[in-house]
Formats: sequence, C-alpha cells, structure tokens
Amino acid sequence: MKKGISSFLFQALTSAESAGVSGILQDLDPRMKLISCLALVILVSLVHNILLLAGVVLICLILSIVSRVRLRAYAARVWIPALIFGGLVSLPAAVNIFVPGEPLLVLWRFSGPVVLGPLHIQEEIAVTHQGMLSLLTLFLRVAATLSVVILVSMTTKWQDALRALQDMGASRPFILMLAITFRYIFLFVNLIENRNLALRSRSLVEHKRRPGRAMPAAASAGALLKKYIEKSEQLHDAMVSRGFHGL
Amino acid sequence: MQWFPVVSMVFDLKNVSFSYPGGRPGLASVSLEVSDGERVAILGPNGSGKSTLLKVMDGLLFPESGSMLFRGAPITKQILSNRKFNRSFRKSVGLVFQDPDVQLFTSSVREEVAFGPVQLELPDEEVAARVNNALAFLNIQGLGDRSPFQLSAGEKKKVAIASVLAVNPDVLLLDEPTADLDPRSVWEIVDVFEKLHMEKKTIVVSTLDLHVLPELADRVYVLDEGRTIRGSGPTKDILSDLELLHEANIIHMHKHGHDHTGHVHL
Repeated sequence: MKKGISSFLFQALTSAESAGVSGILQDLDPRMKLISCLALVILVSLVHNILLLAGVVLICLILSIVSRVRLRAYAARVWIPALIFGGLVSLPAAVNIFVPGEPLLVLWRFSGPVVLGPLHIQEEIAVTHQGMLSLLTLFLRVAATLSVVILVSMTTKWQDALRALQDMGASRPFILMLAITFRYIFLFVNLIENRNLALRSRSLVEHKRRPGRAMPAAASAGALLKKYIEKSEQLHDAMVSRGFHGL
Repeated sequence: MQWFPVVSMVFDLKNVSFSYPGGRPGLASVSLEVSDGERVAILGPNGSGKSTLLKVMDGLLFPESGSMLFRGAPITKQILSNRKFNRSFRKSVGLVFQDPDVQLFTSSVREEVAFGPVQLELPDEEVAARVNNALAFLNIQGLGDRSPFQLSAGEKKKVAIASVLAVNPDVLLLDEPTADLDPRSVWEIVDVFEKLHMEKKTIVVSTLDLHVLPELADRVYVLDEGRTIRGSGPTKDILSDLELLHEANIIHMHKHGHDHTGHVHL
C-alpha cells in the first residue's frame, strides 16, 4: 500500500478500509443506503426538535460501532467540522449582543447601555436561553447531517456508490464526470506530493524564510498547472480514441 | 456500413509533418507504410516524435502537411468530424497510451474496460461479454472490481490494453507498452503481443527497448532526433546496423564495456 498524502486522502475519501469489512451497514444494498441518507438529511434540515436531532446523532454512533467503523476516524470527521461550523461559527448567536433573549449567564455588566456603531449593547452581556437553544439546534443539526453522510460514505465503497447512483437513474455523463474528478484528485495530489518530495530532496538547508523561497513554489504551481492541462488533454485524447464524442 | 475497403495497406503516410502550438516540432516529413497483419515498431530516442506519430495514426492529431491514408481513405479532421466515419475508424483502430493513468479514470477496472464498448452503443450483454473476454485475454479477471488507483504499473498497463481490446479493433497502436515495467510484466505484455499477432491483428508499437524489439515487431522504422525517419527494414537488419542506431541516438558507444544491449564497445 502506498504511503503519503495521496494514500491518506484516498483512505479518507473512499474509506476503503472500513467499507471493505463485513458489518451491518456494509452489507446493506448501496441504493438503500443512499436513499436513506438523502431522506435523513432532508429530515434533519427540517426538524427543530433537539431531542430528535440528538437521537439521530446517537443512532449513527451506535450504528458506526456495530458496523465496525474506526471510531476515531468517524469522530474526527463528524465532530471537528461540527464544532467548527456548528459551534464556533454560531457562538456569537448565544449572547444577547446579536440575539436578544432571557439571560442565562451574565458575562459582563456595564454601568449603562453602550452604543458601538450599529451595535446597541444593553447593560449586560449575557448568554441567553434563546441563543443557547439556537446554538445547540444548529450544532446538533450539523452533527446529525455529518453523522449520516459520513457513516454512509465510510461503509460504502466508492464504486458501489457510483453504481448505485447509476441504478437510481443518475445520468451517465454526471457519473462519468464524478468518476473522472475523483480519480484526478488523487493523480494530482500524488503529483504534488512527489514534486514536494523532489524539492525537499534537493534542499540542502532548512531556511523557512530564506530569500527566493517563494520562487520554487510559484514555479512549481506553474509547472503543475501546465502538467494538469497536459494530462487533461491526454485524458480527452484517450477517451476520443475509444469512440467518445462528447457528453 | 463498411467505410473502409479491405485493402492490404492499412496505413500509408506520405511526408507527414506536424508542429505543436507554439511551433514546437512534432514530426518532420515522415513517410511510412503498414500492411494488414504486420507487426511494425517505431524505434526512436526520447523526444523523437514516436507518441506524436501514433497520435497522428490514431486521428487525434492531424498533419500540417503531407497525407495519411487508412485503408486507402484519407484521414483528416474534416472527415473524422463525420460521426459515422469517426465511429467506424475508432472501431478499427485502438491506441494504448504510454501513461496508463491518462487512460484509466473510472472507479473500477470493469467499468474502465466497458468504456469503449459503451461508446459504441452496444447492447448491455455484448458489453459484458466483451469486458469478460478482454479481461480473460489479459488474464486479469481478478482485477474486475478493483479500483484503477490501487493497481501496480504492470496491472494498469494490462487494464489499459484490455480497455482498448474490448473495442475489438483490427489495428492496435501501442505507445511504449513495456516502459517502466518490471521484467516479469514486460514478458507478460510480450506474450499478449504474441497472442494478438496470432489473431492477425495489425500492430504498430513505439519503443526504445532493444531487448524486446525482436519479440514485438518484424519490421522497424527508426525515428531520429530530427523527428524524421532515418531508416527502416526487417528487425534483424536494423538491430545489426549499429551505425544507424548510433546516429539515431538509440545506442551509444563508449570505451569501457557493459555487456548489455544498447552499449557498444569501441
């Protein structure tokens, strides 16, 4: 097995290891998984009930355990983006500066109302009940959506997913484009990886800020773009050679 | 509809010249002929225009001057824009690229091999049969459900050949098929060539590998660094013409010796 960024990315995107083992979700028909996934994502985006959202997250966690999915990888893919996009980004909504509401926890008290440009801050800055509720809802919604999508992606082989899409009526050009895009991500990550290694193998001293360091990076980006165009042209030629005449 | 008459001359190139955009030369007045069922090699150093020549023969690039006939029919951009003619030509001629990565892009080997037959709009059963036959021909039935990403260089090359064979062309163009392969894979590919030859396929192969040349071709055209044909003849004669090979930069001569093909002692 190849080592390196491309290999890591391949594992991360295809979940080749966890999708290859035998488990409850792995043994399910990929079409059923895709349809269920779509239905659950729509459901999660419509409901506002925190308990229901938490239930989806919990069920996904249990399913990941019984399907022998690597928990660490699963948790990293679900909880890190959920914390960033559902937690940190919406954190300001929890305080009464942006969303007024019933104070739950006072963080700072002023002697009187404060006006900062367009912001009219009341006598105190506090975490509100309503703010916490919306923060928690958003966070759980993101976590539940990610849980469903990541769980399905980690228990379904990439080629099975594409085949399922085809069986479900997705157009052939769409699937072809998806397959080509997916394949070429790896080819180019591999190319970048090798280029980077070649650059490092010729770097005699480690000077992170040495003058002219930007030059190889710029030249490398230019060469990569050229290579990308060249490969794309060759790919097109290879398709035309086998009778392809446009999507 | 039969577009191409059954004539013994498969390719007839006359004074074909080609330049890439920006003026980079590709081919300079190349003339060659390939007959039905022949095994012909294009031998030349790096950058001599071998890949360009094969692309011209596959109707992917078009000569700036000179002419190319395929079974007596001129091949031009305008003629190939006719969908029915194009389809007939693509069914007859298949090109295996040097870098299999540009050829393999689907999510599984089976789908990759099916790409050509699907483009020919064959019925599903026929597509499946052709895929199975091509995989069996290359002895890679076990790779069918694998992703091309996970294959070794030798396996990728075999899948690339299978993906072209599934179209069942009469003429096969192969760009350096043994390049970058380990010895076992090289000889497995050579065996495939032998089987194709037994099936009366016309084979044009580009190479700079003198070790396997006698196994790949009966006749050789030598391209030099001027991107033109410097010589041609039966493989045995070409391999014994050290002066020609040296002038074309296919072998080099030096005073200390190694007992390998491609090195000649003075």
